[in-house]
Amino acid sequence: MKRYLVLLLALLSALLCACTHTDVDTIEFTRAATEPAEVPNTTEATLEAAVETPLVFLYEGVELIPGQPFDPSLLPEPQSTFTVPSCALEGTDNVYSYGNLEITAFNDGTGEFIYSVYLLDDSLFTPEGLKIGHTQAQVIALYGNAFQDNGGEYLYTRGDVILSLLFQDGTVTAIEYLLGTVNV
Amino acid sequence: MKRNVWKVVAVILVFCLIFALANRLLQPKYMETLVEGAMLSQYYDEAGGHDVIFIGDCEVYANFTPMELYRQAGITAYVRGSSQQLIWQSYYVLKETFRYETPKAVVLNVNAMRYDTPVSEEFHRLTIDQMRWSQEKVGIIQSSMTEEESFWSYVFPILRYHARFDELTGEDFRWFFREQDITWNGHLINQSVKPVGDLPAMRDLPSYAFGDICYEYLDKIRLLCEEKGTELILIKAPSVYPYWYDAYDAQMENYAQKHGVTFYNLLDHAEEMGIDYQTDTYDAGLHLNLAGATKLSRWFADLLAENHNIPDHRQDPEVSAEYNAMLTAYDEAVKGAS
Repeated sequence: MKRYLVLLLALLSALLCACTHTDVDTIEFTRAATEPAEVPNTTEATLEAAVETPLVFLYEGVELIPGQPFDPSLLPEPQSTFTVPSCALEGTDNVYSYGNLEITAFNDGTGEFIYSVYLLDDSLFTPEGLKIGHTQAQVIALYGNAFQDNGGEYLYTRGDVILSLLFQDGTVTAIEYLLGTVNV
Repeated sequence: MKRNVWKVVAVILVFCLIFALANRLLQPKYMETLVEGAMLSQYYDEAGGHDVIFIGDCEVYANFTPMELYRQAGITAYVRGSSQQLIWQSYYVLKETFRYETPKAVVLNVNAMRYDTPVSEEFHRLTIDQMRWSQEKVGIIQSSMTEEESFWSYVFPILRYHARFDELTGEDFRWFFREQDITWNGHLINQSVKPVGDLPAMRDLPSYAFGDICYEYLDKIRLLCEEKGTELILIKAPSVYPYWYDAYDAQMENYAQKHGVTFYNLLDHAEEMGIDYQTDTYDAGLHLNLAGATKLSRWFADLLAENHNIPDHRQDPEVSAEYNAMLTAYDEAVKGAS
């Protein structure tokens, strides 16, 4: 009797310690901080090998990379800050508005990290030289063919960063750097 | 031989008991922190006798207070809302509700039509974990689960929450065997004030079309209501952010017209309701606080009574006795919390 109990208690302990599936704390989901972003499914697209140059936006001399820590004190004072709490979950997302740029940062409990960098007008250029108002041809000349075409949206993915470009009548109308996960 | 069989049975029973207790201990209780996780489960003790059921995400449980619906027009209502409740989850929550009662009207907040993929596993745990086991719970799990998740982690929460072993707090022990009421017919009171200020820019989206899966489940909700003889009323709650694009509104107007259901964009009526976004929101416009919810609920109560023939129960001795007692307690709670 004692033997069976010990055996079953050991089994319970094993269940407590081990998982047959991925620990959900390590599962990465695309985070919808403000508006949920569409995450590209690379198994459906015909992507050429992506250029390895990371997608980075430079603003006021500061590198802004989705997924990386964000220190607002390195930038000028934002014109406004909008805090977006989760419906229930602890922690908040902050949207920092700088007039021509918006940075959305999430807090995972250890600090703030960049979720997205959104260009608001044509006064800003990406490091590659792209700005709102450029054409599709100019985009391809600057970034190449390794993108996913979502019908009106081009998505360039390098590592964990997605560069989303929206077009209207062949012209770039929105530029956003996003933190995303890629399904393979 | 017989003695050995009984020994084995006894051992298995002890193991099951320890396993069940461990499951209960490690599962979040949602009684003091993250109380939104307990919202759907609060319904079961109060099920039945509601003429109106509200279904949807946090925009319903924050923005509508059934106590004021009753006070204004004698309407009996319950809010079956939960955090980031997705449209397919709304379908199963509604289907489950129909097991307990058949209301005269279902009011569905359509904000979730903008989400055609899961936003976060943590959010749908808040909706699913505390539901009672039923065919609908199986359905909601299967429709919500992502590839990385396991169905068995919903059956045995210990598989999901085992890491909480070293995060257990007093709350886990205080509420091990019991629950407390945290809502008022599904409404979660919040009396804080954070006015609407500068909102983030309204962004262009790659597409404004609601996903096929969203329309599929909206159709299922509509057909379920038709089958039950319950009127479906679609609404967009008057939360100013995230933005409710004109293209979203047009889709819901078209859907309502095509299928003969009513759709109210309550953002268009905020001024009429007397909502002041400087005083009536607790998070800069995402949700109304109690003051805002009171104004909205009273306005909506009149609309339900006049346009949808929802009956007034204030002269019904049994109902009025119950609700008047609830109102007294509600008013005390509001006074105590302010």
